[in-house]
Amino acid sequence: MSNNNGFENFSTQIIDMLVDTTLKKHGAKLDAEKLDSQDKERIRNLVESLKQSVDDLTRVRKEEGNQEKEKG
Amino acid sequence: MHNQRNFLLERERSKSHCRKVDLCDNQCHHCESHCKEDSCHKQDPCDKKDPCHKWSALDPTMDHPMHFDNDSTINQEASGQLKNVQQSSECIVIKDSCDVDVQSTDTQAAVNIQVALQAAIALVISISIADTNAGDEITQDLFAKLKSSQVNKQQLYIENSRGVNVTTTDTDIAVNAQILLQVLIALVVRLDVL
Repeated sequence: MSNNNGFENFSTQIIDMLVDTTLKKHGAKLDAEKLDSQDKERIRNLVESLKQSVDDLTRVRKEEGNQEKEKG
Repeated sequence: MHNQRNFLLERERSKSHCRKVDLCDNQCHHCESHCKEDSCHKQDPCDKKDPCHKWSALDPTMDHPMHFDNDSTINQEASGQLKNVQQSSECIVIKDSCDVDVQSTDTQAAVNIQVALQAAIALVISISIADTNAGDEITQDLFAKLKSSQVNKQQLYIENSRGVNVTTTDTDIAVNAQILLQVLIALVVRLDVL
């Protein structure tokens, strides 16, 4: 379990670096001031919804994997 | 020996092709650089950029047809990614069989989640970066880096069988969706949304 958490942290760091270097490469910066509170709320809901969908997909995949192991 | 003959033959063809259109001292300077004068080279009608001009492997001055000066990952069309996702397909054929149990992940749902994540990333970048072109380039750049075996075809054929249990999972798309979600979260965190 600890190895899995370690991998997730590692993966997050890689993604952070990827985003940072891509923005730096194009000399762009994400401007938080362009979003008002309503936009932020909508994006937050969107991200939560997508996160839930991905979690569901991953959970189904894990359950199927466990069932395969039990049968095997 | 046979290959060497072909090589010489192609070399002669290359020379003769250039000489036909050459106006400068009966020599094509791209093929045989004898003349060092710049003015002479400027008159050279042997246009290498002309698409009708056949590429010659023996001419070191000619760019390969697949060579591009700019970063090709940025210049690709925006629809390329979505096209790749749509190529994911699953085919299950069960013939003359009984007691067959097939469990399959809903691939279409997985694809929809992936497309939704890509759209959300593009949306967040487009509304938070003032320069439209820069936003498009960043989106393209990110998707190009994240492209990982999105073409996934599963084919299952069961014939004349009894008591078969099959489980198929579209693992590639599930993993890719997780990575896209991480990218989306990394972007919105920088916008103080989360």
